[in-house]
Amino acid sequence: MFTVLLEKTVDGQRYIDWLVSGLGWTLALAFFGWWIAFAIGVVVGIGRTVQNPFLRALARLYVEIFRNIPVLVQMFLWYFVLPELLPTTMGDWIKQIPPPWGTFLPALWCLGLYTAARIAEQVRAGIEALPRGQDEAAAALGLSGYLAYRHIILPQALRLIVPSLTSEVMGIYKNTSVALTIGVMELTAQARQISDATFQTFAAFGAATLIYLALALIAYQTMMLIDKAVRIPGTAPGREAGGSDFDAVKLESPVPNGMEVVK
Amino acid sequence: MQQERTVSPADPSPMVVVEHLVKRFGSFNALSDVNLEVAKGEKIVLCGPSGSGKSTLIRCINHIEKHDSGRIVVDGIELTDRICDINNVRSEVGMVFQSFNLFPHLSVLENCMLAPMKVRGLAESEAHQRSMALLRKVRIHDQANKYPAQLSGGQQQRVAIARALCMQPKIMLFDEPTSALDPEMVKEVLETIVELAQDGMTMVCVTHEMGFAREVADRVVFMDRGSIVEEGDPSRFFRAPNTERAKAFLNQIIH
Amino acid sequence: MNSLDFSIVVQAWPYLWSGLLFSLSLTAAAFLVGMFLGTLFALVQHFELRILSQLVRSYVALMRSIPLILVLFWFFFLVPIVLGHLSGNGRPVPVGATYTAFITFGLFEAAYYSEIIRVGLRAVNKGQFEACQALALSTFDTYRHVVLPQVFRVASPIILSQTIILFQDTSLVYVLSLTDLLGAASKLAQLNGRLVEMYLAVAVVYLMIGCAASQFVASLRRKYAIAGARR
Repeated sequence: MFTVLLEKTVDGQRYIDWLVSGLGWTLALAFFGWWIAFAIGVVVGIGRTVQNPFLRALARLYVEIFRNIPVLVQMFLWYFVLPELLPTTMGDWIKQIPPPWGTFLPALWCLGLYTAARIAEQVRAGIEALPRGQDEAAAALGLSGYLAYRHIILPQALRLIVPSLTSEVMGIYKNTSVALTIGVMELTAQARQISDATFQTFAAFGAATLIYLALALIAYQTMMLIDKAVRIPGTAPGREAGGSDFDAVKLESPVPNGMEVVK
Repeated sequence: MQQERTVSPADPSPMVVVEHLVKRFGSFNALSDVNLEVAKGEKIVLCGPSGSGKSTLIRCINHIEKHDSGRIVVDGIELTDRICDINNVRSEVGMVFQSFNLFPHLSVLENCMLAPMKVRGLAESEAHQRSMALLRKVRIHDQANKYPAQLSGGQQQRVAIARALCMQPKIMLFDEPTSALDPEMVKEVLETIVELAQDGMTMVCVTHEMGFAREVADRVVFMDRGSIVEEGDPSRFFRAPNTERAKAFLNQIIH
Repeated sequence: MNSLDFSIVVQAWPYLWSGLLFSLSLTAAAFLVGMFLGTLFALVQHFELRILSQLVRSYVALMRSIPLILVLFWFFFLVPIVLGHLSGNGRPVPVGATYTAFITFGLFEAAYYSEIIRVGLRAVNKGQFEACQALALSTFDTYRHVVLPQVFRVASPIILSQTIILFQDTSLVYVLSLTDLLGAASKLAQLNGRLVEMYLAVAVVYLMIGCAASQFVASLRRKYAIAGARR
């Protein structure tokens, strides 16, 4: 069924090379996008919980905007709209970024900022789920503000939300496919291109599906390993890896009001 | 109100002065016009029915609760909203909580070392030395590398005491340190606190352990409905309280 | 920077409105189909029906592991073939992008809803089942009148949040060139060249609907928190 992938393409490669190149772009978007999202998400999530009402409102604004506009619309805003809104010279400069970077960078930025809003909500939920006594004990020892967040609150909150972050990891690699709408030749785009060129739709989509499945499995297993690695000695395992289905559904996670299943 | 002062030790300036303290939670008066003085080296036991404001009082002394009006002076520093004052006071005041509040993600040793290093700026080796010495003092040094969840409640509370002592506080506040413990573990924690008292530490302890109060306290302060109702020498207070409310309370906890 | 002219959006509003209606009806249909199938899937797994529950579990894991866009492409390709086989003559039946979208979203969302309900089922207190047995309720009545209502109630904030995400995801029918809200804006933008105004307007509409909906979910959560249900 997949032998078509070994045939030569018009540009002298094999179709499987198209898929591999697509996988490369998908991984690049997901990996770098994740770190952008994680960095911003942690900062915004903390912002949601600080005393200062101005910072709190700012963090809330960020979350509401980036969470409530579909990622595809955000993709168009970064790619089509932003260069037009900037001063002409700057906009023109952006439009002249050579391919593939001209589409990759807006896509990366878009996925990072979108996912950051979701991570921020997880971080906030994790912080709010900590017992009040932790704050008080830190305060009683003279650890306040930055020191309390750095040494007491964040280390615990982040451990708590590892299971719920699993679905954000799976979310960002699936959302990389949205980048095909602005012309990034990632895995789904390549699969469609192969299907269009060879009419072997089963083989093309099937191969892409298998690759996505493998990615999901790797992402899930990685997060399980992280969960195990950062588990605090003496505490009960939050959730054992049961069976082969990778269900990272929130109801059973320790975070009460975390956001739900992503796709 | 009964005024029955015990003789204060050599140093005349008090460790804690609380004057006309008022604390409200919404429309509920948790503390109304509370006055209390704690001399250096003095050991005070606070008791009273639940909701009487005794925990709120010692939480105000550490500024974990913000008071609404009145004055609190700890070791000469008045507690205002200025954050540096609050942190100055907090690092002089050690606090032990009912529910231990150890940091679960840090080992016993790390729990002790964190604040001395980050707040006091101690070098790691020095913090390590001090922590181990104090863990030895509460007889739990052989568990130094375990995590809180791997210890019994009594052990956790002794770690919490050592953690507070690592900041070399001038006064220790205990908020019902034994009431979350299984009965068989109460003794080991009380013994630790007694030893600390014998070393001359100033302390305010919220507790209903009367044997402990008799043994350690210089003064018993009885609170009810947000006010200090009666205070006095423990042997006299437990034998023959002056007020009806204290009588009723003592009857309840004995039976 | 060109000067912005939002009067173009006002002129285009009727067309955008019809696009929005399509987005909303796709959301509603996918919600109904997804919830119905999702509940069935969850029950199949809950009862551990031997082969069936294996099948359902694989289906759910598959749907949750691959991007929705790829699922849309798959169904766009597969549905005519499957229908052809079902109709007996083996010839692919062209069904068009609109029906494909409705079928895809319903089946896709079923996977997500079923996970929510499956976990909700596990969270129901064992005592509830014992009480039903003690009252001699049939299995059907137990689930119909006791268990499922509790699950829906407890899971309703999560189900609604998932539905908000579903509404946002309907914008992906763009890849099938359908005229949902975003598709309408994009088609007009290609005609009149005012893509800045059109895309900004669409973003604002999505933002307002999303904010209002998540506000509603948040208030629902607070209500249940006060009522003492699990948080």
